[in-house]
Amino acid sequence: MTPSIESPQEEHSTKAESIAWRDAVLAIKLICSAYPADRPPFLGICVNAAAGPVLDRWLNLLETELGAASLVQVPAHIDLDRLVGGLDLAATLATGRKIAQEGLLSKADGKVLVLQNTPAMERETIASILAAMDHGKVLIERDGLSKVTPSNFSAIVVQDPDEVLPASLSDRLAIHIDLQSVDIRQTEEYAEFEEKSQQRLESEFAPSANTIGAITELAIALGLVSLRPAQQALKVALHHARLEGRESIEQDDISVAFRMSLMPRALTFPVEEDVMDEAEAEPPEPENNTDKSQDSSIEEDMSELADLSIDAVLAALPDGLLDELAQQKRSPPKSSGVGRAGNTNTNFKRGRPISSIRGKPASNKRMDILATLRASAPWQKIRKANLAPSRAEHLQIRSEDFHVRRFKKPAENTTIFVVDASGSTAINRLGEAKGAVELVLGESYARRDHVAMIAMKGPEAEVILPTTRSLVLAKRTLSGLTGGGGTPLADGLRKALQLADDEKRKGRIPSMIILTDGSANIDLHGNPGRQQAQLDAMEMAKHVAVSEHAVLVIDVSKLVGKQAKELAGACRSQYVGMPFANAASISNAVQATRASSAEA
Amino acid sequence: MTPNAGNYPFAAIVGQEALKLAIILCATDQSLGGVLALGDRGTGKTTAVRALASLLPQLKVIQDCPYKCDPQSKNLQCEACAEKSHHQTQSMEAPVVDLPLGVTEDRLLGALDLERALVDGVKQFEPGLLAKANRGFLYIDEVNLLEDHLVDVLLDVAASGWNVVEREGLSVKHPSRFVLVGSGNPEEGELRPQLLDRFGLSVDVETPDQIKDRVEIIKRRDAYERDPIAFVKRWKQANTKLSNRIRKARELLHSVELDDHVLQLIAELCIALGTDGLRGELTLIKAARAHAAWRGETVVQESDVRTMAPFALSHRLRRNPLDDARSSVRVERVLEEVFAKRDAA
Repeated sequence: MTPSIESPQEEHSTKAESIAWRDAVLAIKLICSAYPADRPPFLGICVNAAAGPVLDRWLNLLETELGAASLVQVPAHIDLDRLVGGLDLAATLATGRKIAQEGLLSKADGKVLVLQNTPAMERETIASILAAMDHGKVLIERDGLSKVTPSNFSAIVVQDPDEVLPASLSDRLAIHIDLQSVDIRQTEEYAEFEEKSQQRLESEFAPSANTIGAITELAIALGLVSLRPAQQALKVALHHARLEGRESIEQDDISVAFRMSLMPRALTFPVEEDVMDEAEAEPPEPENNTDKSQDSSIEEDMSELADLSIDAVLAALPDGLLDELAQQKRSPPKSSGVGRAGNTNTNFKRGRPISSIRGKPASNKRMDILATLRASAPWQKIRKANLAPSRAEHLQIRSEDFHVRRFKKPAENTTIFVVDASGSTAINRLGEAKGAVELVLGESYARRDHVAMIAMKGPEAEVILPTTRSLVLAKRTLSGLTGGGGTPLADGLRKALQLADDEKRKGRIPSMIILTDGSANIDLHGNPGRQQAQLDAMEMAKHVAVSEHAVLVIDVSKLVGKQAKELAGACRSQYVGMPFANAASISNAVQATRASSAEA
Repeated sequence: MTPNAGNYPFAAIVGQEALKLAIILCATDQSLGGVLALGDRGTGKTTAVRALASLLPQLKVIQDCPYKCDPQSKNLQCEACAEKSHHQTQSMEAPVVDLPLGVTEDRLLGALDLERALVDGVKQFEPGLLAKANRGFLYIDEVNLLEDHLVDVLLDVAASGWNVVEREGLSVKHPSRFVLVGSGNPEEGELRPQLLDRFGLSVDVETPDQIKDRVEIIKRRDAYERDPIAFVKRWKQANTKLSNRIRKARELLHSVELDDHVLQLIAELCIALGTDGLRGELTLIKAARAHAAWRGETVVQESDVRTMAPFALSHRLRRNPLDDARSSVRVERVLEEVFAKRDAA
């Protein structure tokens, strides 16, 4: 591998980009070669791409290769009935026999499932898809129907660069490609692969122990603790070898698997920026993220199995690719530290259906047809006995049979913590502020509330924890929060307000807990300056007051200061001084805040 | 779902000793209250739980009873079986029933059989999953995503052992004693404390950290996916051995003795940990007994208690948001202390 400095910058970037497209095309080839004769679990693809001509071209290519009939689209807001399957009411009524209606997951058997906009999907939707993916079948236990149908499919998930895939989903996708850097002009290349896919090998062969060892090591070296990535990479290597007409896995196949399956998900990087030249042959060290206890044992084992070394694989990679990928990873998107999890919970209906009750349908009460039928069924004989034969053919339903669906009330709370983590707070009070947040978290947990966290530090405030119900995540985020920088109080309030409005729209009751000393020094536009910052903060506080969300200001200044009190006044919120705040007083204040917001 | 003969064999699972022990003990003593396996993605929770079916000894049931009533114990039979004095029996595989997330209440509890009602005008109960799971195992993957109203139903039935259905003009009561097995990833949502408490044992599942183990897992998985039937066959003997050992432990279970000093130890542990309620203590007693039986012994040793305490207690600790340590670590800490004190005395 030549040091990247030697190649001119432009040439290097074009080359890397066309590699991305070539890999994207290769991904299609791999899926095609696996399809439909493969065994579960099937290869899946995660495509990181914004909507646009490049993505369209890729999807078109996929459709041409597999045939349009093989692609099954899953709309983001699909009902479980339609996804999993259920009772076909019309057919059941017409025939008097229980007729099952196939769900999309059953229809996708032997096909390719295409998912877009997954962050908008319900947790249950995703969990049902994953369950089918894992077991190759769907268990239908719905609406009086009990059935198992085969459901073997490959999944192709389009990930918008601004969104985060549910981690459980991304963990199950073998191939990860990125079309972001691809220019539409570059997609003309590599569009032909008709002839080559002909020579694919049909025969089965088992991978050697060395190959399995090498791939497992690679996965560990990249910090991929889950066992799935290594299994998937092995499968990718196998399919690539077959695609090339080989009967054993070779270096080339492993580097493809590494590049397309492992590398894009890497959490740690075995190579440093300036260690790119091949002279540096020391074994890569798995650092952070993996458990400390693991390291020693991994290093020992590594030398044992290093028949195909990581260095060799790295050396076989195209120039500059690693550099670029590593670069991307080193400056991760905003939600650093939180990991990829936690976004699964972002979407909720206004209420979940719970059991139906007897009652008349009305505008706000939907009829539950199945329950209504069930209620009427025992009476059919009696009711029909008194009727003319012509009318007795029909099902006799009386108003007392009517059942309506009930939905759970949206009584869910979201507590938004706005934590001042600026330099001034950090020195003495951040630890205590964290303690206070943990206390409230403990309570939120008991009530199964949602929590979100915004950190005010540096030029702008940042949502460091998107709304979640996971205490584990919240605690992890909190303990990872370090202090430093200025206090963008106005921006913190603005982001909290946005978040609170979003939550309200989702049917939850938001409340804000602001931990600050009330002194701002970064204004709304990110510029330093105490005076303007303070003015902006007070202005935003008025917006907060108008919003009528429940707000609590906890003063974290060393001595009870004026500023935090003023802020509380401007927000028309409760105020608690930290020096006097203990577990009980904070939680009481939070309770009181909630109560007032519930009345509003 | 009848246990699938093609399931991954339990004996072929690499590592995961804690989870395997918990599953084995719950199969040994079904009254232990089941297992909850919590852990990150891709740790093989589901594989281990599903492999359970391959371990379970056969069940003797009353012929044609939809609830698989036990011919031996009269007071646990459904009405129809209890009325009869003589039964034909048959043997069958113990049920391991999957509870899919999209399940509706009528399928869980059972409901009026619509088809029979509409066509023949007959009012007949169509048993649900709770009936199917009677005397067997009920497995919920992603248990933390289960809807609250279904959790309520499960809690009711799990507590009483009976499913009582009063709806659509039906009045049915049938036995529903099942071992609850759950798995989930805590990052995707918390579990309700009531449901947490219902599980007898809990296990934190982690991926094996030894490269050798990981390679072995992937090797076996690959071999299994390549040819499941041959793979299952290859492991049949090892699996049968395990299954026989479970059967023996079951027989031994009733004669396992528990000395007062062991009871004292268990009480001390629970007090030191501040576990809520008595269920922790009772479960630990049962778990220690099952562990002794599994070892082929008839007297519970302190070491049995030592081994089983984290399983039985770690999910019953009161949540302390200020203590960052995982609850299993806290249990370990207290265990050290209590045992050190005893050694000193």
